Parts: sequence; structure tokens; C-alpha cells
Amino acid sequence: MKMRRRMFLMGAAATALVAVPVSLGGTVGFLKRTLRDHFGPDVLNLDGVADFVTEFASYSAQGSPAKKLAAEVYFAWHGDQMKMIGPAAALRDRFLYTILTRSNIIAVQQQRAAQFDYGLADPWLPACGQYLSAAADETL
Amino acid sequence: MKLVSAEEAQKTGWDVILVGTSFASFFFAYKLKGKGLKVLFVERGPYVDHDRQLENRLHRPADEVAQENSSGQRKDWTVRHQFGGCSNCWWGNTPRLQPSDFELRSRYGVAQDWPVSYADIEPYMIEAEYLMDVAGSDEAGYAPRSAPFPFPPHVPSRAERRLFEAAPSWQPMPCARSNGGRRPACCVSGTCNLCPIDAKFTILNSLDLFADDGFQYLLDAECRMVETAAGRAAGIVVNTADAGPVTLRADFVGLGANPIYNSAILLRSGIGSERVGRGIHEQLGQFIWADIPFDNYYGGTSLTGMGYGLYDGDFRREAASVLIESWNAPPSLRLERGKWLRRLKLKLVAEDLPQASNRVVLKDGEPVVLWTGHSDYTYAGLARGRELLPSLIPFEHEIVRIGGFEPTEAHIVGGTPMAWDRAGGVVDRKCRVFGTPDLACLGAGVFTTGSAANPTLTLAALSLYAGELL
Repeated sequence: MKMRRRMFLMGAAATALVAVPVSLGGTVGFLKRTLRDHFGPDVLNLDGVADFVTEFASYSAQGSPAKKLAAEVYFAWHGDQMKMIGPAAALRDRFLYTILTRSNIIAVQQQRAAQFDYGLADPWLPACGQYLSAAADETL
Repeated sequence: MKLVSAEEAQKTGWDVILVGTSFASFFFAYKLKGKGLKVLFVERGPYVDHDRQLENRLHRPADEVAQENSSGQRKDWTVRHQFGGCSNCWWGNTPRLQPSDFELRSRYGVAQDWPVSYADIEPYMIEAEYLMDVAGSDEAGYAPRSAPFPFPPHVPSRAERRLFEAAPSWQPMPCARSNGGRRPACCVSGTCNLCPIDAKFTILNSLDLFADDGFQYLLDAECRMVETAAGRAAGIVVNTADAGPVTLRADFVGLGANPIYNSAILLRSGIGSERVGRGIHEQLGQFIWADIPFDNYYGGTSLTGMGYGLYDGDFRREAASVLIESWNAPPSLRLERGKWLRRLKLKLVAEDLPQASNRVVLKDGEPVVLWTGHSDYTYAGLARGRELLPSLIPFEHEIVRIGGFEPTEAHIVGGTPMAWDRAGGVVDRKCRVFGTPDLACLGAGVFTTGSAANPTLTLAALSLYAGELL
């Protein structure tokens, strides 16, 4: 009886260890930390940035629930701060590249735009390069 | 688009059969329109429309080419078994081969002169530019032009504005990524191998230009060999999934498959000189990234500029010509706060020379590329380019990275070269195979020598020229 109870408690603890951080959004947290580290903390206060982050996170590790879960746990427990593994670094770089090219964040940072705006957040879909192209108002 | 089955095609006596459905065949066929000819296009791959290409873009397996690579470096060969061939996946850059590219022997004592000159082909280059709605700058004169570009050049990147002002060797890159005309304007996706909005010229999105009541299409049928009778082309043998080997009769056959498969078809057929398949080659590219003190990009298409500063001169006696490409999209970003756009992304693209050791052979009836590597001439050109490039950039910069040699430029050249006589090549100045006058080889396989410039515009012009001579 004691044994069964101990096993139950251990299982519940393990589940909590995974489920709690996952429910808090491990990947989203990592992406927000990435933004904060790169652009400064104020970037997270811009309207629309949280939506972009959430949308981008939904496209990471698509098609592999096991990888998705592992990533959520890794990021939720700040595994990137203990040891930045290759896929995490790749996700960070892809995320920065995507937000830099598919939003007007550079214009916002350079105070040429007041409102944050973005297009297609899915990095796997081809998208028109409006924010860094001649179509952008920023063109000299 | 009139599709025909192999059985139906077998019952018809065709005036012309064209093998392959990319630039080489279609620009040849353009000159056959309105002549009342029965023309059959034979394509080994399927027809896949643009929407389905977009849907399947991440799952389409590459078409592999068998090779024995003894070069010590990775080498890839880009081919496309699909209706429209490489027009589906090209990037749309249309610089011309320059006059010197046709005269390497007489000018620099290297390789061999073409039996046609730039002046012979130039009117057809204009025609090809108009068919493709090419955007380019008339002010950027380098080689003589007999007519203006159909559409103005795309907006240059910010770095290119300074380059263009500093030296006339820097010019807008002419391209068939739309800046006016029949297709939607380029939206700078930087994914030009499959444009999301179909702004780039492809055979698929321009089929109406090449339409004729007498043109029909046989798909999923691979041309295996050319049949001859009394020294004349009599037709081809195709393999189809459904009907097996089928013989199709024609009075004239044009091979527009690509340099590797054109060579293989001739080798299987026992047609052409011992030169068939020899000297296959392509350019060698190398990216260079430099940090600069101002924001770059904001240009109007993917590749917005090019530099001729390393292209031509007496150095070509010993070192290859190099074309410099300036890339706007996809941008190379600096992941340093505030400096994201302070980056210049260039590519050096060097010509190569045909070498007999690089060749296509048949093994068990299938083509295998024996690849021993690019020539020393090519590597010397790139070395010269790396050394001189800083002197061609008129503003402060720091080269931060030089990439490795690219495994392919997707510009296969040679194998059935054009020459004055049979001893020098495989086809004559009309692109007809020596000894088999009703058989033509089309496309970059007939280039006597390659070039640092992208070959597509010139090979399309050459097909128009050859088609007019039929």
C-alpha cells in the first residue's frame, strides 16, 4: 500500500514537473527572453508583439508532438541558460530573422514607426518581403 | 494545351519533335509558330501547376544525377524532370553573355571561339528579353544593345545606389522577375526558385506566348534515343510508364533536355563525334559578406545589382572572368542590435572552361557524370576576385566572412559544343549535329565555352536563332 502510494506521488510529481511549465508556455517564454535580450525589455510592451511570438511558437516543432513537448520542457526549465543546444540556437536565430524581416520592428526601433506591424509569422511559408523591400515607406 | 498519348503520338508523322519543355525547346518552337507545322513536345516529367508546386514545395524530392566525383569537393547538378523544366526553379536573372565570351581564343588564347558572335545573337537576345518581360537599365551600357529593355530596372538596394554612382562597372541586374508587364510585380520574397506570386517568367505562366494549333504535348515520356535513316534524323524512341518503348516519327528532332541528358541521348544513339559528353562544366560561386557603416537593402527584387569589375580584360589569359552578384533578398542580417541591415552580401561567380576529363558517359545505358573538378583557371579567377573585391567597393567595409565554394550554380554548360567543324565540337553554328542535319541540340549544352554570366537569356536567344534557321 505504501509502495503504491509512493509510486502515485512520484508519478504526480513527474507529471507536474512537465505539465506545469508546459502550461506556462516554455517556447513562448524563450522567445520573449530572446526578444528582451536583443531589443531591450520595452519591446515586450509593444502591442502585437505577444501575438507574433505566440503565432511563431505555434509553428515550431510542427508535426512532432514528442519534440514539441521536449522543447516546451527544455525552455520552461530555462535549459537554454544552462546549455544552449543546437536546435535552440537555430530556433532563436530563425525567430530573430523572421521578426526582423517580416515585421516593422526595425522601423519601430529606429523610431520611424510607432505601431508594431507584422505579416506572415510562419517561417516555413514564403512571404513577400514588404518590410525590407522597396515597397516599404522607409526607402530613401 | 493539347496533350497526346504515346499511342496517338505514334500514329502521327510529326514535322518536328522537341525533347524537353524548358527554355531551349520553347524558344526554338516560338519561331515555328504559324507555319502550319505539327510539333510534338516530349517531356519526361509530369505537368504540375504553380499552386501544386507551392503546396508540395517542402516535399518534392530532388531529381538526382548519377556522378563519379573525384574532385574532392561536393558537386551538385540541378536538373528538373517536370513540364517547364528548370524554368520552374530558375531565379530569373538575365545578364547576357558579353562579346568577349564568344571569342576567348582569339582575344586571350584560351579554349575556343564560338562559330557565332555576340552580334549574330544580339537581335535574338532582345527578342528573348521582350518575351520574358525583362527589367533592366538602358543607362548601364556594357555590351551594345540594339533596343531598350522592355521594362525599367528594379529599385536598387541602398548599398547599390552608392556602388552605381561610384563606378559604371556596377549595374542593375537585369531579370525576368516582373517590374511591369504580364505578370504580377516582384514582391521581394527572396524565394525565387518558386515565386509565391508567380512574378518570375516560367514556361508555365507564359504558355500562351508559345501556343500554336499544331503544337501538342506528350508527358511522362523519356526520350531514350534518336533514330536515324540514311544519315538523317527519322524520329525518337521514348519510354513511357504505360506503353513501354515507343518509336515516334519526325522529319526534324530538337534535343532540348539539358546538357547531361542531351549528351546521353546522343551517346545511346551513337550519333555525333567523340566529343559528345566531353567538357561538361559550370560556373563556380562563392559568397562574401561585408559589414558596412550604413543600412543596406530596401531594394525591389532579390538580386538587384551586379558588378563587371572582374569580368573582362587581359587577365583572362590566366584567370577566369568573374561576375559579382549583389543580393538584396533574402537579406543577410547582422544580429547585433541596431546594426541589423549594415551588411553587404555579394557573390563571386567565375566562369569555367570545358575540360575533356569532365564528361558524361553511359553506364548500363544511363548517364553518369565523371567529374574531376573545376579548372585551375576558375580557381585563379576566384582568387583574383577575392583579392581585388575590396578595391571595387567605394565605401568603408570589412569583409567578415568568405563562404566555401558553392556545390552548384545550377547552370550546366557543354557536352554538345558548337564549333566550326566536327573536329571542334558536336553541333554547327545552326545548332545542328555534324553529320545529322535534321537533328539539333538546343540549350546551354551547345555553348562552346561558358561564361561568368547566367546562361539563360543567351541560350533562349540561341534557340530563337536556331528556330528561325529551320
